[in-house]
Amino acid sequence: MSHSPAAVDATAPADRHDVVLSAKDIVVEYHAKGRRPVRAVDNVSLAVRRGETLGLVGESGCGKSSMGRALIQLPPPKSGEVRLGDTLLSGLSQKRLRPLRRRLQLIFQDPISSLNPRRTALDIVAEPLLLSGHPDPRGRALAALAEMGVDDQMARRRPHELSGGQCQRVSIARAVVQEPDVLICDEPVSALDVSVQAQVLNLLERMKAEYRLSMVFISHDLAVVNNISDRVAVMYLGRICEIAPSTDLYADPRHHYTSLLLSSVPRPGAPRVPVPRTGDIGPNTRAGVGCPFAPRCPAATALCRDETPPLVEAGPDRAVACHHPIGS
Amino acid sequence: MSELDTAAEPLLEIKDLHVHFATPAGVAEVVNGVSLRLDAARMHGLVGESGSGKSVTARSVLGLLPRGNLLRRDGVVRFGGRDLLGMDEAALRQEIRGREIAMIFQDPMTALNPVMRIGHQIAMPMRRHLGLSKKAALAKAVELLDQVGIPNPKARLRSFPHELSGGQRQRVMIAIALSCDPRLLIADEPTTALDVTVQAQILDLFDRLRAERGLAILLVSHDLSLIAERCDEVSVMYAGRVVENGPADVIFAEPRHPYTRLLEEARPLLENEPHTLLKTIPGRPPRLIDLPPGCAFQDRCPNVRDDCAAIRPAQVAVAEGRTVACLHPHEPAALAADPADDPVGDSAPSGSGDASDPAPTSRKALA
Repeated sequence: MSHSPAAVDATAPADRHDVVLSAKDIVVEYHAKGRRPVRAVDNVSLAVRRGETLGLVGESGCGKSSMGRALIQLPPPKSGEVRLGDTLLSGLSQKRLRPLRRRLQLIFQDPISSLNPRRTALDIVAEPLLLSGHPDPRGRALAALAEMGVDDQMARRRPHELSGGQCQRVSIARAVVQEPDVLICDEPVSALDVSVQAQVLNLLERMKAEYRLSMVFISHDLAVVNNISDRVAVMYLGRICEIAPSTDLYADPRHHYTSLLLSSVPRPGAPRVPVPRTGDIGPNTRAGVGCPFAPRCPAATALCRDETPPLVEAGPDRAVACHHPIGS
Repeated sequence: MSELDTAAEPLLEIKDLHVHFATPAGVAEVVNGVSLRLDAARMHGLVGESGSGKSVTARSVLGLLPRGNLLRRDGVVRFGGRDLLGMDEAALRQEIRGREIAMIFQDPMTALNPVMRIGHQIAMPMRRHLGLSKKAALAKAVELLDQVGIPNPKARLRSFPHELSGGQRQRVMIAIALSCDPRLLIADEPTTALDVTVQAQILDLFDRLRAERGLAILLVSHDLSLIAERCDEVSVMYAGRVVENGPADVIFAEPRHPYTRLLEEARPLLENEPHTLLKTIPGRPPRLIDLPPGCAFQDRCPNVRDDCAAIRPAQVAVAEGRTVACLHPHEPAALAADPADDPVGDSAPSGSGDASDPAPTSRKALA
């Protein structure tokens, strides 16, 4: 079967200079007293290319947020290496990491609670500039906020006096004024209404072009990820099951889980096939062998339960971790 | 009411419902003249953004509104020929809630009692409303859990809510809701907290219940795609009013109200090319304590004209089973050439500079 080709690092591009942020064999574990540790991220490798948006999609508990946190070393993963450009972040002390953090910015899901409630929007955006010795932090902050559609008057308000969409604009301003290399967005529009969501997504696209950002976009919403990403990695129980350019992934999924996910998204007008009742994702307490999706997979065989499928190349610029990929 | 009357009228009819609350900042006009109807075995979607009044409308049916600051609640809510708004609390509790009409909420974590085994929670309404013995009720609970797709239902009776996943908890909520064989299920964002694969399973379950038991469902959701895919009828709400109402497939294929059309266009689609620029709706919804006298959508509307500031549009029937509350709705494609009521969607709004006519483009910059 298809596990004969060596497990390639399919996520690593041919040209190393192309990559702004890369992660190799990341493992994240959470420990609770008296229980087996939960492995949230299980040997994940990926690379973010300069100027691209990499979507990270999956259901709750798949490890996408833990992976995002591991990339910025908050907290550092249990094992694995993260590189920002040519700099190895793993193993650096907090003190040595601090100047590098400017280059990796994070935007969170809850726009209001991720901002300091006692500071005004202007202070929030000016603070990092002040710390990095910018000659005119407040002027620059005001200009950046204006660019996001937050005017002078709103800039003097505190987060609770702003709407969710406005707070998310402030978060984006705070991130981009530091001119990062990579912007990591963790469910940035999930708490917003449809009309506001569209505004924020468009704004992210504009900022990405203007500040020449690379982005990691983490979301459970496949339609949103499709709209913003160049490539998409689908995660399931801590592992990447498929990674491909978004148009290819959505048109022609190779992993059975990707296919299940896509067929579960409501699509008005499309002929509807009832989704097989395959149960839920459980907490990841699997023994560490076999394909994590095997218990729910329509194509699972004995091999799937005994051997974890490696992520192998499955066409130009795409890889899949499946013993029996669709269309093989 | 006689049997004949109930047969002729819809299972649920809401007419001109108004709900206002007192808040420290003023009177919040949360629901302002909502009308809709729902028949057995149908699913009616109530869709809108936060603050549009969809949840308050749904809760009004069961009289589940905070009473402390309720200033106004009037209109008609008829269910199976009975007037629910006029019913007192005791009658609602004994005859309607849980028995004729069941409700499930968004958050299955907090809706279940955390210190009671789920078997008991499912059995309780059946013992109370149907007078079943403990043993009979627990036996029925096993059946219900099996129906909603919980594996190994008998063992699950002794579980506590925290031992179940979110999807399983929501299924337990549905089992409780179905336990007394209600005729109407009100589901307020039932799948919003759930993963998409679980959501699809729950919605498939709804479809089955409608077909098998004739269960009617009022589905409250902010998710247009979900409503468009699954519902028979839909009511789109904005600032406490139904702006457009009718068959789901028609409404989203050919929206007449400018708000419906913009909502539809703002939605990211699975079919879009990467980096597709999305249409946005400029501005923000009006504050409910400070609604403008005319149309609530006038500040954000591309079709706005002078009369929108003065006249509050009523829900007007535009086709069989379809209403639109707009003075200048989009024309249906087939009639677009009709000169009598030329849509102004693309032409410049008349009287720009007028206070009633804020230019959408300048608002966009502020938004």
